Amino acid sequence: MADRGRVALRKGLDLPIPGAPAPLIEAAPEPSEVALVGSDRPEIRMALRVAEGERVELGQTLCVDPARTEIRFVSPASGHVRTARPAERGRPALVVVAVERPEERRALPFEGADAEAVGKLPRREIVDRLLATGDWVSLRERPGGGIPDPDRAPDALLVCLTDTNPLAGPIGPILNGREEDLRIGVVALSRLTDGPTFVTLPPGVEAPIGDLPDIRSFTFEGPHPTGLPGVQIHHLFPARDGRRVWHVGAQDALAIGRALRTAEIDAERIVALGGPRVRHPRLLRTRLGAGIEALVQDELLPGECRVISGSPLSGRIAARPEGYLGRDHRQVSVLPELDDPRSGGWPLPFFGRLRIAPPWRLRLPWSTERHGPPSAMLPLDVFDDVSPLRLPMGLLLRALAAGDREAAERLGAAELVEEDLALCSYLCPAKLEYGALLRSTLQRETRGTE
Amino acid sequence: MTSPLEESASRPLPPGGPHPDVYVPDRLAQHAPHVRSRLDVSAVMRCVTWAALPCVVMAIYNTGLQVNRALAAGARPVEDVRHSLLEALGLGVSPDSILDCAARGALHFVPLLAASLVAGLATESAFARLRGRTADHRALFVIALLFTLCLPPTISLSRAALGSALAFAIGKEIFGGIGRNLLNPPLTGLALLYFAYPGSLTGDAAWVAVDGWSGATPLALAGEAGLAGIEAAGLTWQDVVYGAIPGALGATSALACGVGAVVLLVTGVASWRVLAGGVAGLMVGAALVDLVGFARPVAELPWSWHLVSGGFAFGIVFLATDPATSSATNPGRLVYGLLIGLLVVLIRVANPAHRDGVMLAILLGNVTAPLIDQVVSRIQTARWRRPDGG
Repeated sequence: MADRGRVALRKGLDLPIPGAPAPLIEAAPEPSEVALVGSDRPEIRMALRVAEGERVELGQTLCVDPARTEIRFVSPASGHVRTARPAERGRPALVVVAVERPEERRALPFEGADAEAVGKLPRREIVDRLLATGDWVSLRERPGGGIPDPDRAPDALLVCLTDTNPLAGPIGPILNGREEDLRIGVVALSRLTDGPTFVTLPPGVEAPIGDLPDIRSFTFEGPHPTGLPGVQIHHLFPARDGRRVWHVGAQDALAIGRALRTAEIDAERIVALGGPRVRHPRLLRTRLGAGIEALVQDELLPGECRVISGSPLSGRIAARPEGYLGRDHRQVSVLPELDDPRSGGWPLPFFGRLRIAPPWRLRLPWSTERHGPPSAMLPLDVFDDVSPLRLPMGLLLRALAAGDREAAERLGAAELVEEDLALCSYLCPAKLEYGALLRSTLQRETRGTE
Repeated sequence: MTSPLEESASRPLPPGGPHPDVYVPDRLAQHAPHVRSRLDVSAVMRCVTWAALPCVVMAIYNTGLQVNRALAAGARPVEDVRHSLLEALGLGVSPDSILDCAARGALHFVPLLAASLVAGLATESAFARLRGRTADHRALFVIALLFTLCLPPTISLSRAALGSALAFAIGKEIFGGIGRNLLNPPLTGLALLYFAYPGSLTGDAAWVAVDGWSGATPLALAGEAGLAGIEAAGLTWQDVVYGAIPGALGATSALACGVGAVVLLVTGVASWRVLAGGVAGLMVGAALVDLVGFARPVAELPWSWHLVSGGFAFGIVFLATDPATSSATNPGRLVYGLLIGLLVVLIRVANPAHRDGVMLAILLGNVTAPLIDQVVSRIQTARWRRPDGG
């Protein structure tokens, strides 16, 4: 990997939330429930393929995308279906499986293979194998952020081994000992595209993928959001002018590699448990869709807190009935619900919240407080200063706040997804949620029809 | 046998806290991102207010100082309420006593600020009532304060109130409030007042709060006789920087504005690009004027004099940097500042009827800002069409 590229981005902001996970993997207790939470894929109105009470095997289809029924969401464990809530108006689907032993696995229609054999497989065969294991839904497409269409090859593919989200886990211990899985995963994924395949790594981590043709690896260095796939695609191979780029996360690439190597579905994932209210922030080995309530039991310090599936910037509240790990979430973050009056205290009473100077350098009592009511957008230049995207952020955010789809698309909104704008929402003095605004604006009908 | 999870299901709330279906108190972030910065609109407004504090101090002291100097130089004292109040308090009219000057200045400044505040409050409340909404007074104080600081000390309370009402109505409310307005509210009020009552906002008699006493501002002096005219009046560049000179209430001291600029820059409320662009615009403007060779005395002024005299420092620091009405792109902010600086010099040099030009320059900048943004964003997005993808 002598010719690894390096991209250093200066702009961004790392939120120093205390409770970053230690680089130490421990096995979490086996979950008694796993679930598929439809609200993690708001763009798909999932169609159920199981009924309540039914027995399911690991790998059996729970839901499909009704528009493309070959895209299946499979059960990450065997057991019986406890809840099967169909997608109804405004309420996404939810399937909960009560885990039962012994584990029954659905047989896969292929044999295990090594990297060399996988590299020789035709594209269609790889697609079929990923569809069979249920790993296809790990892939995401830009623009749009949806699950890609198996029949349309992308112009490029990104395997993103970086994650700069606050409280995200380090990648080193996760890659450790799984070089072969990564290698097979990357080789298989690179067969999906005729264009380049990019592998991005955080600084200081060696790429254990060896020398592979058609695969370019890059080190991405800089503060959050440098580690987000949206930002990296923006810099490596912008998904605009009709170009489509697929991306896949580190652990999903590992799971794909293992599934192809052993011909067994890999539903195991490592999640980073972190936050100011966590007793021992560390990495936990658990299962896709694991019940979070059981995961954080005995892990939290006393006090009212919010458990989030995903990062504090872009995750979702994990509470009943959706208290399960999201399909794409590799973090569980726990934040206090209110500022602890003892931990903060402003030495300058009159300035109060004015201590923004610069606010990110301060050890704040991090909590879920919004610090002010929503109001009209103020395009401060801080938005441009924290965004490594080469887009006019002030104008773009203003277009989103105004719901102006035409302007937003012209300014480059189409290549972004919610998480790319999370930092802007964090900083916004008007307390606008640009991620939600992005989705609603891009879904808006073109004006002039009324 | 029940699993521990089924047992926990009977608990009222899981450790996960509230769910979207559950009530989440309004002061908490309801959705991602679950953490939010402490910066909110009130904090931005409060920040501008604190940054303007040095200007307020100067407004109070300098207004009194100018009156007391005029009295010491032989002006006839006005027997009004202020005079009786000061006498009752046992305060004199010495220009050397800081207390005398501050008391005298406060009696001019505070009523004007109060009039602006009351008019602004009434306007905001009236609009809120018409719209059937709760009134949003977060920007009330800062707009009224900045508006008052731009006024000449001789203006009557009723005119100040009228201008303030116009500032809030035309500058802010008809667009739907802060963040949606096109023009800077204090300047909108000032401009409307200026065109309605040009006599009370211009002329040498407007700048010292003593009846019939004429106190020429440096720009007025330069308008008559250039740099020599200023020197003849005994003013040095340093005097103008400190701002103990006749002028608008809070805009005389470039030093006070400089302190405010530091506060605004450190807190991230003002854009350094607007400030840098403004100063660069002055330099370019002064150089251009020099090159063309305008046959007017004020054309002799170098950029350093333009920087500190008149309302430029106050305008570029507090009014041009208003994030809602300035440009919203980084290159655009530089161009916007540059344009304002250029226009200030051009108006000062080319229009003898309008000595200062800062008010009009910034309003023109506000009007041009969306156009600048359009051009900048077109250029930025045009780069994408290049074969290398930008």
